[in-house]
Amino acid sequence: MTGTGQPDSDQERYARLLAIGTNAGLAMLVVLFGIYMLGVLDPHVPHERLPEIWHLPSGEFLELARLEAGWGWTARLRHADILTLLGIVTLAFCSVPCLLAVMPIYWRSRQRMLFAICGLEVAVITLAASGLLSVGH
Amino acid sequence: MRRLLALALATAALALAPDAFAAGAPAGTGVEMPWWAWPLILFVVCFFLGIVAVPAGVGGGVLFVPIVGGFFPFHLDFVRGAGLLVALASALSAGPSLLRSGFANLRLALPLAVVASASSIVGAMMGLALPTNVVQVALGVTILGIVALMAAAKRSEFPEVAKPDAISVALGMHGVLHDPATGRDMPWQVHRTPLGLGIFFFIGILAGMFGLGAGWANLPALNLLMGAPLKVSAGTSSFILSLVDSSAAWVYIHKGAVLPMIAVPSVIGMMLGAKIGARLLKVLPAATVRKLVLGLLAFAGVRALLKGLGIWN
Repeated sequence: MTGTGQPDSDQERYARLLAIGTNAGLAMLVVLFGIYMLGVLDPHVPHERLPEIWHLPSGEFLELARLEAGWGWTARLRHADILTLLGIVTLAFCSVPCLLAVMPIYWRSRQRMLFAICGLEVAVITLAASGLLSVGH
Repeated sequence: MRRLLALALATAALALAPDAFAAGAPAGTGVEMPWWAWPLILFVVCFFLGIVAVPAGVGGGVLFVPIVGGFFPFHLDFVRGAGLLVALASALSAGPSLLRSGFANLRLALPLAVVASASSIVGAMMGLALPTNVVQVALGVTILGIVALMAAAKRSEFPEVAKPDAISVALGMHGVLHDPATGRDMPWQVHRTPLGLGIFFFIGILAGMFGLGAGWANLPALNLLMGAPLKVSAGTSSFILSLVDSSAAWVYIHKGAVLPMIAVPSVIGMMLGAKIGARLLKVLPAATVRKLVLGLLAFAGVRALLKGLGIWN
């Protein structure tokens, strides 16, 4: 922040994109969950079956629900419960565009270490999002 | 006022009630209740947790995991996955205004967030690979440690930093805090950055392993250890969570440990409750609410510990 109390350009740009991503993710979450709860689309796991299996570890849950770990859920987006995950992944990924957007500011102002740190953070989140690191019980 | 406190107490009662319903079911699955009752109860409990979290100065995630994990029939994997999303959604929502006001500082946050993000992935992988009872015991111990830390920790409005360290200078981890109350601009800087990076490595592991928001640890690390002003520490702590929890959340998503039926009512309930809590900030007796919440948290910590040890299932 500058001495005038005005936000710096990196903070302002990050904030603007973060607001868009967060609002989009939360709106998707509410709408898609409404579709799920109201039964507009059939869920992959029927509502009434959930209490029988949600006390199990996630690995067993996936097995009983015949779901795959990693990105396998994207093949079942026609089901309301799986579709709701779109709102969740939007929230979990919305920081990445913000980081990418401030990187040119750091490059132009010769703040190469901050530029590299932003790149590293993008790499860390992207690596987690790739599903390559998923492990089992 | 008394009614509001009674509402907070009702939170504890509601948190306990579902378990009582589920007590007769095999393995506490809660199958004898209609499926829709659980997300509804979860929403109500999270709404009240959100209300009391703000005046208590406690993050929603740290309340959510031990209370819902201890008293609801969901497996701890799903509770931790939902806890991460509760903390993530709250941090993301607060992020834009914190950045614009300067209370969150990107240059201060980014180096610490990279370290904590990477370690939160390790923590999440460890948490999902370890036996559940081991994670329960570790969660109980951690929660009791958090209660002790929160009860004892002091805060410093504007710590004195005589000389910034070389890393913080190189990374530009300094700024000017504009105080709207006085209209003054107060320059700040930080020190002990290498130690701070080490602390944030461990904070990330805990955040990922237990699905807890880590504001309880971020704030004293930034304020007391590194010497950032209290307002900058609080804002930057919240912003760091938005990056750390993003990384860990992906591990839970890929392992199928994020169940929309549990996660979404929790996120919505907590966020709505927090909005009400923020409005009630002036009328609620913050010190009393804080003691009440710490008591509830201690109780949930003991419950997690005993559950993990097989003493109180």
